[in-house]
Amino acid sequence: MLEIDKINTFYGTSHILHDLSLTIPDGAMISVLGRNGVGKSTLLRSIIGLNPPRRGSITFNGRDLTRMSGHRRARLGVGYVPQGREIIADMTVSQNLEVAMFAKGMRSTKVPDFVYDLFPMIKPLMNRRGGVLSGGQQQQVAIARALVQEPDVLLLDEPTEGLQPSVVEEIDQIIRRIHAERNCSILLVEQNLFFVREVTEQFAIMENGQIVVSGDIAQLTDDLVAAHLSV
Amino acid sequence: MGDAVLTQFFSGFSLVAILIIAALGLAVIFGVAGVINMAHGEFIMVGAYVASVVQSGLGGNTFWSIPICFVAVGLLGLVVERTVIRGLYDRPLETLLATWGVSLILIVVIKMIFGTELHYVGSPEMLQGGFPAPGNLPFPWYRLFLILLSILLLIATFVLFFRTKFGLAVRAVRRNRSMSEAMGINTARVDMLIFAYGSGLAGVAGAVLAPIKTVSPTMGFPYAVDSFMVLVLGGVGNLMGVPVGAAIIGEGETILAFLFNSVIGKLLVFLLIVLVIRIVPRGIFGYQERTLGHRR
Repeated sequence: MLEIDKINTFYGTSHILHDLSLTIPDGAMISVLGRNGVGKSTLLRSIIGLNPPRRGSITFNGRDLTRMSGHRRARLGVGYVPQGREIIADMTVSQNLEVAMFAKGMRSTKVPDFVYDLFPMIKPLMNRRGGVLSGGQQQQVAIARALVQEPDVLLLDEPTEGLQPSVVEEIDQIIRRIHAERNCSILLVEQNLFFVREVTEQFAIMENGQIVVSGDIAQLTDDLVAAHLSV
Repeated sequence: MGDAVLTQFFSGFSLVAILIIAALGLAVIFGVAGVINMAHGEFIMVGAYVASVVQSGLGGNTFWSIPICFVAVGLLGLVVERTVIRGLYDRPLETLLATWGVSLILIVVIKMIFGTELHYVGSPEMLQGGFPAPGNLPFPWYRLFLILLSILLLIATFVLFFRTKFGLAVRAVRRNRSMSEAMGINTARVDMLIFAYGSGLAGVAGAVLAPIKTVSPTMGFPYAVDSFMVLVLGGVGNLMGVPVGAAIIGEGETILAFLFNSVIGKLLVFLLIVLVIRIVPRGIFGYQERTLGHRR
């Protein structure tokens, strides 16, 4: 269980997150929605430790993450798929996965079979360099890189951004399967409302660094969308 | 004439080896941690003094001083990283000044401990003398030893970076620091260990250069200059930059010094370096950043 309690996060002097609270129960899948610049990515970066909050607290499975350095959070079981993928360009796909397992402190860095099952396209690409892959392929490798660490919670930052519709469909199917088959909760930042409504159970809408509405996905009415999400 | 140039070519190998040994530690620290260590020459100098202590105090020869200097200067690097560099990683100019300050402190401390007189370190007995090289020029065994050692250090560094999981993590940190941290790599520890390893290599350089050079508190500076030249020419994006940069500079200086004289030789090599970085500013094996930002 990941509990975020009244965190305040800054970029330099600009105040991004204001007393933001959110709880992600085990096994849950929550979508974070909101217009550009409301702090969705910052929320994920606060959780993983790239932008630690100045005030408030983040508790994960009973442990206080707030002041913990980023690498220790990952080792405790927070998986992170950043916006823009951030695959290491000059390392091969298999090295990208191996280094993630080594970083987690796993004894074996053999790529587990479920990866090939979830991402059939990965096997023939294992010895290709990350930098030569297409956006959709890189996205799948980025998700696989987080999953080989067997995280308890997975943070996904706009995994379908900038991908063509057929690839978006593919990624959505994979996220759906991860939720069903992998034993981890998911916090998803996503713009694709259709997918959010179809797959996620709960939503939280952000505005000005705060969560203004949240609830079960059935409560995400068109009126709410018009009020908080339409541009 | 051709034969004589060939002879120079062979004797140039030893200068190439010296350049590789001197520059490798600097390249590792700059290439991975992104720190330009202005105290690199003084780390070499401290290594040379440690070697002189190993010889005069403990009666050990160069074979003893190599591991001892590696550990001693490596620890020195560790302390410098923890105390000085740590807070300055994203501020290159301050790092330059701070490491330069460290170099001045090291020179003064060494002067206080050992005085300003020169120290002499002998080469191991079994490496004294030489053998006839092509062109009937005697080639000292010790120079051959330096050539072999430079190859060995290159291989060891290559294996560390490209054949171990730790090396994989190091390369990940070099390319994407924040993502590496986010996937669980202790990037601060990687920086520290790399700084210590690079410093240890400077210590080894001091240990093996002591017998061919007078040991003095100011001996480090010329080596630092040469090392920077090697990096500027070869580039730091790839480990191959060090041997290639060293080979061009070392062979160029030796052969041109023979054909003209040593001043003109040095001048022509510097001119060549200026030309090369005019065309490839990051050096021959320089790495072109493809992602946006994210290097701290």
